[in-house]
Amino acid sequence: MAVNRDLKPVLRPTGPRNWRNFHDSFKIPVKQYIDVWNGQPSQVSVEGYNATTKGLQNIIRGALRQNDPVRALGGGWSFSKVAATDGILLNTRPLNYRFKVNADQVHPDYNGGADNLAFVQCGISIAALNRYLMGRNKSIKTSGASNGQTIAGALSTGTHGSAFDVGAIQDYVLGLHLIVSPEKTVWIERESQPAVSDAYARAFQADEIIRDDEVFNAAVVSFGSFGIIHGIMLSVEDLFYLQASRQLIPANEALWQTCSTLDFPGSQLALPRANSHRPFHFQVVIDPFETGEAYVTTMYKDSVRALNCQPASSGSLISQGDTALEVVGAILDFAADITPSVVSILTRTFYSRFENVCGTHSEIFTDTTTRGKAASSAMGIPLGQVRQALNITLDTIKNFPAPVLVALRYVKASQATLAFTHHEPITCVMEIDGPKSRRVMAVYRRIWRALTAAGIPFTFHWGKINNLDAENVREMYGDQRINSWLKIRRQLLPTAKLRQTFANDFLKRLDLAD
Amino acid sequence: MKRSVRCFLFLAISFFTIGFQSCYTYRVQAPGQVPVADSSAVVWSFAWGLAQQQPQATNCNGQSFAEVTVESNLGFDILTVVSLGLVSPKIVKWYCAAPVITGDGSVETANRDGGDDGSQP
Repeated sequence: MAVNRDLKPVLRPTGPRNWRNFHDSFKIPVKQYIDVWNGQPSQVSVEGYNATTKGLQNIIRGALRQNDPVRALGGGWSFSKVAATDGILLNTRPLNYRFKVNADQVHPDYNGGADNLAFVQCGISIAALNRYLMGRNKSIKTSGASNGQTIAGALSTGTHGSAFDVGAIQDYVLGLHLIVSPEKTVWIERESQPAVSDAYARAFQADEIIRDDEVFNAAVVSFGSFGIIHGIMLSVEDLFYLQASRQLIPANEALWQTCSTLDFPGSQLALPRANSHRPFHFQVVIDPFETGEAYVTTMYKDSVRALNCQPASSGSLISQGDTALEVVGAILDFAADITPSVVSILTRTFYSRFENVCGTHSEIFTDTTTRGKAASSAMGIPLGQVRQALNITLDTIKNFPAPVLVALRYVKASQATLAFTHHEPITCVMEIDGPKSRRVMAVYRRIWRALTAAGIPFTFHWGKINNLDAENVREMYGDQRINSWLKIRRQLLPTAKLRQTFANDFLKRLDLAD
Repeated sequence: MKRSVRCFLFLAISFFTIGFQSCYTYRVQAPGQVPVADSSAVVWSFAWGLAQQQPQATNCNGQSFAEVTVESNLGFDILTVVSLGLVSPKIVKWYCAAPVITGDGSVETANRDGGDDGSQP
């Protein structure tokens, strides 16, 4: 079908360039980098969306002809090269259409209100999504700690917060509109949890509608390797408010017990409201060189804003410089002896305590202030092994001082086949953050070795720094999950050429490319 | 190693590592705007500002800027000083804002009964 010229997407190729991820942890030469804009960027229409689908299919057609790999890029927030390619990188961030669902457009077996559904284009950022939903008096269910990722990028790598009764971003996705070839797009939902009618999916020219749990669970965390996710059906909820505080409390038996069980009614911790309410969000941050105390952030969910409780004031006029992390990393690479003192001073100075801060999801999880060469590695750990894993990690850092902080966050187990947060019933995510420096990378390797030697059954966050390979990815996920994911990928991308087109070096290293 | 030698090495390595890899960055942001596409140019100012290059931002597809940064580094600063201000380069980066959209798109469906034919793969 011919496309109205005004609706044709605007493609702005920049030619060969070195592409750097947001956190500047790596750069990669790409053959072609293309900004993709809707033909009428500010005027939402199904016809415009469908014209962009055709434009993306034309890019895939050209890539197949040239034997170039192609990847849709989100916010570029991954620290690992999971989203990268040296072929064609598509900047999808300008694609931010959003569509409502009417009551007569839901699937008969959908068990919620139509107003709790939102269909959005892949490039919409978490920040823009929050703003859009606030206008509908709605909210997303959870996000990462800040809001710069695109929705498609965030769900594809399993981005999470610490809303331990909710899950990660992919866990409130109900449908995917996936471009799998120059000729075909598919609409995927779970059979057990359908969302919209076939007619709704067909309005977006889906060639095939698949309602299958195994297919959906494989596709929803697939790192851009199943094709281009163009549209996402989200389950959203009524606007809610969070009341947040961060305290410095003794790191004693009561804390470790809570970290290992999340048993809040039984907790001996002096947390605000913990005796009467279960927190929505619970996070512990530890300075590895001052382990007598820990920073504990708790958030409680309310349907109305608490009295006399406001969001934190917006950004200071002075912030951390873009090269601050690089400078700290470079100095401490050479002067490791002073690392404990520097980390403790910086933590006490910049990791502030607060109490009685209230706001909507978007007012609490705001723009990141971290810029420059950052490093982060995160491991999913079963609750029962949290304490052992944490002790091993802290001991390793003390024996090989590096400028890092250790955080514990919690995520409800995901149904996604390759979700790194699949440990039932709740996965603890142990995150180790610092500047990208030689010493930080070295301590990561030591920690990974020590956890492996101790037999801790951890999984790596796909988007963070890791040492995944073909062998340990099967140990972490098991043959059944890996084989199921590969089977579904072959089903959706039936030819070897298509699978190679949507693969990258990261997947090849893991034997997940074919 | 003597303490003084170690101290000298520390300062020298820190100076070169930081000075040549890092940039001074100055950033202006438009609150609430999400950056979605970027471009950059090395711009030169000549003869103490009597003439300057003027890059054109043609990549924003009619959208406004979300953010602009100006960067300098030790090499650029040395060049400015050595040339006594005859040339002074800086890196300018600009980030296009996400398209502004008001409201939702509505989806017209041919089948208005919410029915479903349950098609399977």
